[in-house]
Amino acid sequence: MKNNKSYIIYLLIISLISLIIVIEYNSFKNNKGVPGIELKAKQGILDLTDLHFDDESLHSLDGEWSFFYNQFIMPDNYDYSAPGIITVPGLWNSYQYNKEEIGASGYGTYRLKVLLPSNCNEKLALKIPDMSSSYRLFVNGKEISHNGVVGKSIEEETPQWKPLIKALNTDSGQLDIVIHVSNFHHVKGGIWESIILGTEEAIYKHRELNLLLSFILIGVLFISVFYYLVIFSVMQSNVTSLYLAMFSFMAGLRELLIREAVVFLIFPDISFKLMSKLEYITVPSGPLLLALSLYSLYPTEFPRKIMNTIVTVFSLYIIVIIFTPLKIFGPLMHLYLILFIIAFIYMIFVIAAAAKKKKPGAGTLLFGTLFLLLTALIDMGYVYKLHNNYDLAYTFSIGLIIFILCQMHSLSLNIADVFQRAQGLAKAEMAFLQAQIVPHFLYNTLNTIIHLTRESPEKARSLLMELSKYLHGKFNFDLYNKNKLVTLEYELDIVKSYLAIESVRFSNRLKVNYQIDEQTLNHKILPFLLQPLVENAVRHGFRKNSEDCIITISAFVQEKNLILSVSDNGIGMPKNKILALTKCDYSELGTGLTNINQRLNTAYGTDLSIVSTIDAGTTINIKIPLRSDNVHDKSNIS
Amino acid sequence: MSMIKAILVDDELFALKELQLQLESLPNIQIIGSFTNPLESFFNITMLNPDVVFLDIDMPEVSGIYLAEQIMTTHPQVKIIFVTAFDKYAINAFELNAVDYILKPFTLERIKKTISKLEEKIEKNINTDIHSLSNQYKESVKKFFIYEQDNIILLNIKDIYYIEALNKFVRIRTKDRFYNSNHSLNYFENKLKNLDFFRTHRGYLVNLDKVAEIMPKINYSFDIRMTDTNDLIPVSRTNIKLLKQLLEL
Repeated sequence: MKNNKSYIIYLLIISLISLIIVIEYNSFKNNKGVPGIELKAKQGILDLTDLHFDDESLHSLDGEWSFFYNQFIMPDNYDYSAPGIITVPGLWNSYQYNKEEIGASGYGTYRLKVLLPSNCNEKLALKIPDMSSSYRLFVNGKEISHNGVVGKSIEEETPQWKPLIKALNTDSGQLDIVIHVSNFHHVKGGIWESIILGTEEAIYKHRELNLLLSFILIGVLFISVFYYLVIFSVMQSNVTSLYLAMFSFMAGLRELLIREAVVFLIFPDISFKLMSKLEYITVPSGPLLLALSLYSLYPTEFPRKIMNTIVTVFSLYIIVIIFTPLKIFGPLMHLYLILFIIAFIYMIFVIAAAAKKKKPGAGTLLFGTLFLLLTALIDMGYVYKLHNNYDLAYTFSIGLIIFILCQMHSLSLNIADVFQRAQGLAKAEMAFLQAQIVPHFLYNTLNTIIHLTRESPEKARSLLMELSKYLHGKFNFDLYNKNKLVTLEYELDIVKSYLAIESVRFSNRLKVNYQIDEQTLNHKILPFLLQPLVENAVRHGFRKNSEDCIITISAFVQEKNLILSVSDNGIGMPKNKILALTKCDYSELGTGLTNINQRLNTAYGTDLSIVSTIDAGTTINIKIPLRSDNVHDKSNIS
Repeated sequence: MSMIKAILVDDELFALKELQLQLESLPNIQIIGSFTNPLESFFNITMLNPDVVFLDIDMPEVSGIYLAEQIMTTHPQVKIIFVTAFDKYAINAFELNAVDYILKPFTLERIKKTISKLEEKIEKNINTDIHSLSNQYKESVKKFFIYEQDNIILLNIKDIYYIEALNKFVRIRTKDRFYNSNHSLNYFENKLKNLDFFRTHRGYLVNLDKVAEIMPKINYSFDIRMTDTNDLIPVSRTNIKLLKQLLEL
């Protein structure tokens, strides 16, 4: 039953994942949403005359563009002196000028002539990504868009990263694209992403699909923030959910800032400084919050020192991002991405260790984290141009969604587990209390005393005395406190009263042998250990037949262990009960034995041992490890 | 109305005496027998011919409930009143409310009330239905009552090898022979609670002490061979693991 349930959950997760992948894949493939890259610009000219532009085609303006370093050339002022060649998309950092790499900072003019197909009647548009760090774009002599303000120095420049779409008027059969780009704020300069040309319809569709994906991701992420916060608000002890809420929030924030930069829809005037800082902060906060949440989930698997190291290292970076300009914190990202990968791999090992111990939800979490790391690597590969597959550029977002789903599942399992254990504990406590008061015994005894008042008031009185002693022991509620210990002598006194009562009830058919080593009497033990065993033994002894019931109670020290033993000559214990005890399957056992075993387990780490033969009798042993201070110290067992 | 003849059964002597004293104070009750041994009481019923039996429930060898069922089988006209120290919880759990019972320690008022109900039942000749109560009452019976024609056989649980469910009845296997019973296999399973009997299969309840060996079959299922009789008993696949663990003990 339980297995079936978890299968259903895994099935749901897997189908959800496949659904996302299918949507993602289909929307791009079937709608031809992927920009073509077959034709590349050569020496500043991109020849698209052979391309058939229909409703839905897109083409990247990739390849060799003309480049004029340190010049802003207006489109009407064609000065063809020393045009360089630069690859778009790409960075200009390694562009050679006067045999030296120009580095990140600087400015320049990009130019590309696009030859359009002659039969092109469709309205065309450009999808212009953000560039590092500001640009001004002219097509056929007219300025059609800009991002920030380009400048020749850091003071003159105002950076802005905002993807745009601009419609084009294409009367002539060609496009003359001139872009002024300047960068004094970032460590990477130039046009770092493809500019895409297509029909207006296709360009907007492309953007819509991107927006759709963004909205789904942002929705899921912020709903999960809400979910975690609700959990945290009702279970403040569950810090994990707070960290996860923050994690999801950071992931959601990142989704707002990247791709189509949805944030511009909400805050059109958001400053470049704030935006770039926020985007960067979301990266180190990932491993930071993940480490904190994992530590709170699996403290035994996650060494505190390593957790602290991860938290310190990544917090430091966040501080650096907040207080320094992009030029300083930007380059540090390269180092941090390596640390990021290392931290992630370490945490995967932590989760794997937890999964090995069958911690609830660790399996799902392991899967989610592996997936997240994999997609992060693919994404980094795109950023570092290790591969140029645009399809895979945003896989990280999908990894993130799957990770969040796994995380939710894992947290739910965890909470369910805590809840079940709490229930089990409450049940065990209830059973403990019930086991202590057996009304059946009390009524029978009263019945016997009622009769004895007629026959022998003397006997009745002594029986009442024993009953009072017995009840004093049972109703000593002080002892129900978990940490209380009693001397063996105290426990034995209650047992003796009990046996005295039973022997009157059964008209001296009860024989008891005490084999108590005098030295053991002062040892402190958990209360209510012997009594239930003796009561069981009497019940079993008399169940057998009309013969005498013989009970033997012994206490002795053996190899630094106090051994308490209760035997009877009764009906014996069935094999399934003994098996249940060894398997800790308490549903089969009586409440008395279950309880003793659980308490022995928690207090001493030992188990009851049972030797039983059907119809010949049962011997039950309790082993209590002795510590040198056991006799005197009360607080040594918690 | 004539005197009601009563038999009292309780394995505790003082409880028996107390009930006796209380009942003797009532004018219309005549105690014709008191027993501390439940089996002995059963074999005296024919001779004593009582109207009512007061039965303690918690007794060795057989419970008051099992004994009552046997009395209803052999002497259906005899009325049964249970005497018990159960608490309210147990009374509800065992559905004792459906039958007549007195709680220990007993008050005379309660006994009087029960007796007047009893008189009514004797008058109208209403028999108590014990069967549904007995069917679900879990206990460790030490001897089964087997009825064969005019004989009552007391079958020792230790002598049973296995019990097998057939079409309309069950068959109890001992070393030398079979006994038939109209009770269901579930009934026997309940009566053998806390004894080493194991349901190997929907149709078989096996005495674990009489198992000689487990024998694998070609189709990955198992049989067990019993000692002495060498009978082969099928084990259902779901039970084989637990059975092996139990036999290893």
